[in-house]
Amino acid sequence: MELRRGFHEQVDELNAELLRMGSVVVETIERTRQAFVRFDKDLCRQIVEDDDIVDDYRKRVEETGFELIARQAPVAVDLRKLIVIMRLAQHLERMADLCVNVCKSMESLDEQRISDWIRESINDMGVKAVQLAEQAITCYRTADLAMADDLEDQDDAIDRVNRRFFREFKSTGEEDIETAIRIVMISRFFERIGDNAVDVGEHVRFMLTGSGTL
Amino acid sequence: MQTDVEGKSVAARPLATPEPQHGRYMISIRDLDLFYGDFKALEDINVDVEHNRITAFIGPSGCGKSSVLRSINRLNDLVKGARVEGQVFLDGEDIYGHGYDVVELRKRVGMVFQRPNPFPKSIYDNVAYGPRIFGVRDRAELDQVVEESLVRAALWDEVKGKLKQSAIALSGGQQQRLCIARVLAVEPEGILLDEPCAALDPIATQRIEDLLQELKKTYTIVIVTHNMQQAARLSDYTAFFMIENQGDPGRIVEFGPTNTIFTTPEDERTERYITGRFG
Repeated sequence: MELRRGFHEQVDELNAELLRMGSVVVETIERTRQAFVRFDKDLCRQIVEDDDIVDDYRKRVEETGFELIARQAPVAVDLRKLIVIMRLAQHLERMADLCVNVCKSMESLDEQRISDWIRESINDMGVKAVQLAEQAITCYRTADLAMADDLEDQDDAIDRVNRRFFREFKSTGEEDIETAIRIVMISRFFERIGDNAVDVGEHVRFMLTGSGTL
Repeated sequence: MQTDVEGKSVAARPLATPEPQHGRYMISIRDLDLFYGDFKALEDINVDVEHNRITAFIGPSGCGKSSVLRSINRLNDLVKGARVEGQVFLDGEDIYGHGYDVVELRKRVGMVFQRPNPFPKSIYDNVAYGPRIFGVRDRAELDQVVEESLVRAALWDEVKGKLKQSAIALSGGQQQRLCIARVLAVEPEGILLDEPCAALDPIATQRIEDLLQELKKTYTIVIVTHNMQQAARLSDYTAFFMIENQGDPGRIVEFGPTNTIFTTPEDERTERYITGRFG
């Protein structure tokens, strides 16, 4: 006989809320990539404005999770899942914040000074960041441990591009200092999105196995 | 690798270790089967109860938790048709062995039941009952034992002015602490408690839990509880019992540090039970 059905339904509802949040965040990363590639500053402003939506999601997920822990005293897999849902909400919010950082960094950039290789490299990072975020959410949704563990390997690609900027700027010396600094920062923001996806994978591992990093 | 209650890594304890380790464990149950007539109520029970720790037995009703508890001080001897196979070691000695002194056993391991069951006597006489049976006659000595036992049971301050009053007039929670004091008066090593808080309100329950935490410094405690949160709050080790199908004997599905049982149980059946997916 299934007991505590009400509680498990509430956990399922919270889970659905987190997945909705996840799809909003993936979309935000994709829009951020497009905003950079098209150098669309209107889209940038929209992304900054829309960040409140993600913040509200995080707040709702955390408040509900907190309340369920206080009132339902979950244990074992239920406890791990609730804690991980709350952690994931934080990471997703952080990913959206990094998108905001990208958009704000673009404000004072001059499109004329962005050479093609920069645009392509940032685009590559954006594509990879979207993939990583999607994989992070999917491994959580489908409880796929192998997919969770694979995130770290996937993240290496984004790290490599990030390191490339330092090398290129040092060797070519073409760009002015401010542009170079801003591009390195933007590159770093995308790289941090990947790191957050890797963290999500580690939490998923904890949720599924009870071992590893919480 | 699991960790014990102090966080040290220990090898996962198999349910059936061939040789009980008497140093660390006060009670070691080995391959215990229990029959009521033809009905096999328990099968293959193996538990080690560590000194100065609280060990909890949890599981659905009718799965044999209380039967195991009762077998530790041979209360099942009193049930017609009950028969035990296997061994229960108390500090290395099999209590079902030939010639084992059952009175001495019940002095060393006391029992507290679900419903407080004070004798219809004064508070004083309830606590003095055991020592008197064991031959203590000296008034001053009895006074001292009664006071010490009531202090240890965290009841002294509430009853010190009315020791001659009837125990029946006490509240349920006070009666239960009196029953614990009555056990303590004969200086046991272990205390067995069979759902001691089932008839108590939450505050009285909390008092008993606080008391047990204090008592484990001196005594070894085994508690049967239906309240899983109580097991989680209170115990150092937890054994999860269940019956697979109607009519099957009760078995232990998983036994380990309470921390492990309530965060990452190894057996799916344990997980399903403690998270309320079956009961």
